[in-house]
Amino acid sequence: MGQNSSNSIIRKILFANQDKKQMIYAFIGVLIGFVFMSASVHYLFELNKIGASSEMLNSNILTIQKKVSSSNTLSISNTIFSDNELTFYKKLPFVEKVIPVENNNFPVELKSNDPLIPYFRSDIFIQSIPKDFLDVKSNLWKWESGDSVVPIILPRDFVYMMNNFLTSSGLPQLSDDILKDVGFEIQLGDELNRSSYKARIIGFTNEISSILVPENLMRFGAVTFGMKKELKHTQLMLKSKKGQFGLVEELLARNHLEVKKNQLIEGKLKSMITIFLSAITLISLIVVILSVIVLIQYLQLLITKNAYEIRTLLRIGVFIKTIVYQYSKYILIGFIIVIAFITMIDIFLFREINNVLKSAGIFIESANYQNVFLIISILFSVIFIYSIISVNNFVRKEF
Amino acid sequence: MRIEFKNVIPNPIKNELNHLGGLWGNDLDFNSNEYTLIDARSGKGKSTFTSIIAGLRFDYTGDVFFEGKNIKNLSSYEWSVLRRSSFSFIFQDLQLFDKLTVKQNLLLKNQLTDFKKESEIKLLIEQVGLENKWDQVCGTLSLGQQQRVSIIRALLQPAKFLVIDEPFSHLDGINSSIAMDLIKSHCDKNEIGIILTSLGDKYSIEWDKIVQIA
Repeated sequence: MGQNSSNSIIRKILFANQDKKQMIYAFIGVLIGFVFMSASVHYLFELNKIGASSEMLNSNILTIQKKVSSSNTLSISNTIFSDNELTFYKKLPFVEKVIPVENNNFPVELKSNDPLIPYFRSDIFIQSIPKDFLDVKSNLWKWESGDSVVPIILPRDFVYMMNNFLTSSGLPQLSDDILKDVGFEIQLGDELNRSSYKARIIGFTNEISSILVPENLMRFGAVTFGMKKELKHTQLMLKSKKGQFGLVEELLARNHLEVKKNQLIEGKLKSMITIFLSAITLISLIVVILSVIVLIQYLQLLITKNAYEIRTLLRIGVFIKTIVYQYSKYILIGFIIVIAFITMIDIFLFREINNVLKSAGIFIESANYQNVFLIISILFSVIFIYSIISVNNFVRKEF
Repeated sequence: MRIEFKNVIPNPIKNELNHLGGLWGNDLDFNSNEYTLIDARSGKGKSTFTSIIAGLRFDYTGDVFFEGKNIKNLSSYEWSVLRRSSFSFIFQDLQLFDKLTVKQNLLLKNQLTDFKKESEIKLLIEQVGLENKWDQVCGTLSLGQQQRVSIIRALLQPAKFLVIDEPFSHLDGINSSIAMDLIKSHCDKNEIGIILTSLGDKYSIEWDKIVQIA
């Protein structure tokens, strides 16, 4: 005899009147709602990460320039962005940020300086953009006057060109990792006034066709080796707000602007999928809310059906907390079972969807579920706390 | 332990002056070493009196004190402690769990305080003639049998008062007498005060106090 057996009798009393059919409906509803919601939230997270691991440029960023036509060539119109145009783009509601891309107005030369690859040298064109447009660790992307090493970001086209050059020289192609260890040298200025630095590749980009350098180096070069010409901006970096890519596309068409085609397609695709997934998230959120209402109603019904039993237990001296504890344990076990089912279904579902995406050339890290399960855990914790408060209030009312 | 009623008038009868006197609108006290009979006709508020002492209703004017503490100020926890260790009740509507067996109904109450051994409980059940009903579901017993289970249940806890609301309404004379003897010997042994509401029957007990309600 004792507390344990009295608890088992109390449990028997409190759950004698449960409607198992309604419990199963509530269970299935919660399961479906949460599986849909977790899947859509998971892929919304993943969508924002696609390409980010290998791309140094932040997402939702476009490099825009004016279309070159015969009238530009004949100097009837030009491809330079004026200050007024820059201000106009900055004020657009769907534009988060816009800045001009700075170009070098001084000679720059890049040459190899490593036994791994044959010697080559080339005059190059460099550009710089603010750090918040780049997905790069701050300690790598910096240069101060006096530093002997310049960090650079290479355009992918440059890497392809270099690998073609290596193949034609009978040498193996270089991977990204090896390329980052290859020694290069960058020279600023002409034969009369020249400075040399070691160049260190810290990343690659598909979105910009020139070599990127830190802003400080560009300013130093302009001051030390510049040709005293006024800096003109022919390219702008534009960061759009999430899910508003359609408006950016409209802007480009209206103002005869152009961007790299893959930037446009990726942006458009991301924008469309974001809207689609957001819609699914919204629908599944409604399903979740409805199923949670069914679940809470089931609990209320269970307790209401046991009103006499609860009242009688209280009258013979059973503590409120003992009754609430029994319901809490029941709800907690129920939630653990639901979460376990959701987790199993999600892992299976994500693996299958990832396989389909992989076969279409889109690679998604299959083990990255933390965010989704964090959200599920938080939601269930909130529902759990709400349920316990409701149960506690009801039991107190019966006192 | 002492219970004090100070000018208590239940709200539903406060405008009916013929109800005043006896229990209502007077100052009364009950002590745990006394046997008190509250004698009244139907509809005079006997069950209301039991409900007030049990903390089930507070719709009254005046004050009720347990050991000098106004019961309107007791917390739900304090009420639970009182119900399991100071006040034992036999309600008119029995308050049993229909789906539980006699054994489960009794053990549940007993296990809250581990007051008696299972063998002692079985002995009590034998004394009221229900030994062959030990494992029977309460809902399938007759009202008289249920009433006897309810009486035994009230004896399975430590108490200062046993409050009994018309306890033998479904029992014949012989069974009433057996049950009353059992209650009295239990209360004598454990020094428990009795407050019993009755429709006129005095149950052949020497009462310390009789409160008559006109």
